[in-house]
Amino acid sequence: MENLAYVGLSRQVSLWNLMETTANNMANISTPGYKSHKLLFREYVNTSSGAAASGSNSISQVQNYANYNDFSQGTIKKTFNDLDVAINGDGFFAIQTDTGVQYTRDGSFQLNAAGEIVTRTGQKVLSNGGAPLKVPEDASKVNITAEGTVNTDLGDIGKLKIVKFDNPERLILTGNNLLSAAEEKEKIVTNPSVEQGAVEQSNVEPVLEMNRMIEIQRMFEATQNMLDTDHDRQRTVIRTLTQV
Amino acid sequence: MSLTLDIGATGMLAQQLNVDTISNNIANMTTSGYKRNRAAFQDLMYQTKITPGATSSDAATMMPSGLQQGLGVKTGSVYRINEQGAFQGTNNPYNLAIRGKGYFQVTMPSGEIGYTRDGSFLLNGNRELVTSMGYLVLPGITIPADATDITINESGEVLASIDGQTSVSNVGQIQIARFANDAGLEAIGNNFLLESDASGSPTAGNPGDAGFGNLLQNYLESSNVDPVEEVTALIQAQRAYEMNSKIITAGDEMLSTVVQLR
Repeated sequence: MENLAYVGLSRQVSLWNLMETTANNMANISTPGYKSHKLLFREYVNTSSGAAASGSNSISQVQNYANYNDFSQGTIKKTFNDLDVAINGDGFFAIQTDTGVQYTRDGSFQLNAAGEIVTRTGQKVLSNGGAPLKVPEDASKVNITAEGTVNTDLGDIGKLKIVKFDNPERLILTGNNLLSAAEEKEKIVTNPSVEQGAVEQSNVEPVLEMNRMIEIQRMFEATQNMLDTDHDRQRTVIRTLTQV
Repeated sequence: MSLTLDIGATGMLAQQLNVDTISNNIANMTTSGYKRNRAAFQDLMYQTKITPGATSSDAATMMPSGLQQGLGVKTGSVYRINEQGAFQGTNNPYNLAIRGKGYFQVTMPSGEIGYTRDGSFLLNGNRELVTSMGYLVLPGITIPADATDITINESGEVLASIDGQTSVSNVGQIQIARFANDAGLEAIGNNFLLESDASGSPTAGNPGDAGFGNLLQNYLESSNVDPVEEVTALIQAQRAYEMNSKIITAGDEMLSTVVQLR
């Protein structure tokens, strides 16, 4: 009896979630290294009693069961800041956090009071050896090669640890532009391609997101109209039957 | 109730900070020694509904990815880009520019030491070298009254030709200071920066020493703001602001659709 309402409701809930995902993408349009999120939907088959036998009467609802990051390359924008590094292609920077090593594509680094290379939130950037990279105080210029080796006029400091994952979609987003590996195993990228003096922009496509936003809103209204129509139908049925 | 409105609001706040930062850069386009600022953003924390890698059955089949809803953007920090500014000739012997690392040290009225890249200095009534605000440049240089010609060389030595003497005399040495983390200095306005916990403690030295820049006399360091870059960034920030406001409008209209349920 109320099947249509439930189907419509499942559609509206998933559209609502999709809208939230779109809003989050738009909010992060200027976040360096941000990867746009996509939502996955699936058919959720609800075989109500008696319908299972024939199979033809099964009711499908919709469910958004997962989201994933679109790991495609963001635009690399020149900033002319010596400690800004962008990865061109595969890889993540390894960052030492309070809860272990985490990963990021945001290479807008700076120095801390001890001269170590840190993220904007002050967490240490790791070298291939697993130690933080420390710039000597006497150094007048930091240079980062295309392979990620950091050197100054006083010699090499180390190589930025750049890693990749077999299943990057299983990484857990933890905020502050960081991802945690959880069960995934990091693999060192042997010959990464990095660019100094540039940051990777967010890969959110504003045109697509705006389009999606309008689409979601219209589909939401269409579902609402469908529900309204069904309610009218039910009302008509009740009115007609009670007139007998 | 509706995350969409809150998320859209974080996006608008972030772009507001972006526009504020850009307008401050444009306003300081001709400020000597000014370093352009940039707003830095980070994504906010996530609501994890399904952890990525969670098992979906007893047979240990794994979810290919999780369900994590982001909560918007964090209006993180504003940082300075300490790129060298261009040199502007002035023909004023007390105008100095630093090529490379370092800051001039100035005694502030509060007794603290202020750090600046703005080398537009003057003499005060006591013929001491001071900033345009009248603050003493450290370590304190007094130019003799009978000096006819002042030369400040690359290593910061102040040399004066004194009337009636054949050789030039050294009347002082300008020292500059450097920090482990220049970006951590606290800006207090009037082109001055103060030491902070983030910057580390200053190391003073003579210009031209290892790790210190050189001085250029008769030049000022211009602001490193690139107007073309700023205007482009302004347009982008404004559009991003508008788009985030559209998200709020759309979220609001969806809510109103719900309200109209018959």
